[in-house]
Amino acid sequence: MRPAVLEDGHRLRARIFIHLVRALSRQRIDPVVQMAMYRPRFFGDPFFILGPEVLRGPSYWTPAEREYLAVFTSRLNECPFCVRMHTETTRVESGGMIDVNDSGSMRPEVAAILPLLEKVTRTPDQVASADVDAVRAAGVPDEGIVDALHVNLIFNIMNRLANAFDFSWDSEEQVRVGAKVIHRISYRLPRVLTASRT
Amino acid sequence: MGRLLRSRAAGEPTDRHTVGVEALHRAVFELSGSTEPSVRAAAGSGAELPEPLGSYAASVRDRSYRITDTDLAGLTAAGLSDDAIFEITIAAAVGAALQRLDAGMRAIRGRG
Repeated sequence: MRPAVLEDGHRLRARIFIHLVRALSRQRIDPVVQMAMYRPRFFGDPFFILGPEVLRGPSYWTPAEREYLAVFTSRLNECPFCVRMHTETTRVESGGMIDVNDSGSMRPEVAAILPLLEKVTRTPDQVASADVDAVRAAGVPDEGIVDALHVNLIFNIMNRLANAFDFSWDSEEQVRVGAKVIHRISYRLPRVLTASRT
Repeated sequence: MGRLLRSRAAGEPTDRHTVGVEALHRAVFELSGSTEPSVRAAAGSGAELPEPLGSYAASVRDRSYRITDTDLAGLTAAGLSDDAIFEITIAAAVGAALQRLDAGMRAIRGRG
């Protein structure tokens, strides 16, 4: 991970947590969490309030479908780190029913939202009302379109950070453990880890 | 992105993430830090910045998969601290992502 301050610049409570996770799980802590705990007031705290709300809160899309939308955006942004984790979380959250490489394993509404997300991600200046109308015609309500745009937001942020900060996984086991933790805690970090300095 | 934040009426079903998005925007672009808010705003929007900062912020926004250790070493050599690099990177990433959300939301409202 780079710059170096993201490896060793954390305040005490975060350093303790990082060591505890390593000792108990025998895995390095998820790099996203490690980054979010550095100066959390600036990014990690608000991001880890918005993220769980978007990815696990009330939505037109199931958690598994949102995980697939995460993979879709991460592929467009060429972020292998996020693709790898969210392929696994899609498998976990769907009980193996959604295959990220087979659009036939998903509701047609999922396929219908993808062209809009691709255009928003790649060529935002060219997005037009007609692109949204095409999704509506497939039966997706505006609420669902908004929800999908916010999943896209989360990963348009995190893909760039993962690439710039050079996040990586040590092993397939670390990915599997990470996906299980995400499933168990629904992306909600203990606030003590990201709450502002007092 | 300012337009996005100002244009939302409260209480509509399409607004359920507004509070969280606004809180993130405020933290990244308004809090005091190692860099001036104006520099972070430029990193997020693509406005002009001195080199090598401008090129780096553009890379984060448009082709983050190409960023290497050499890019970060260049920023350090130019006198930027790790904290400044952290802030600029996050501002560029969040700015690019909010620009995209804004494009999608405008299209939903029929203004695309």
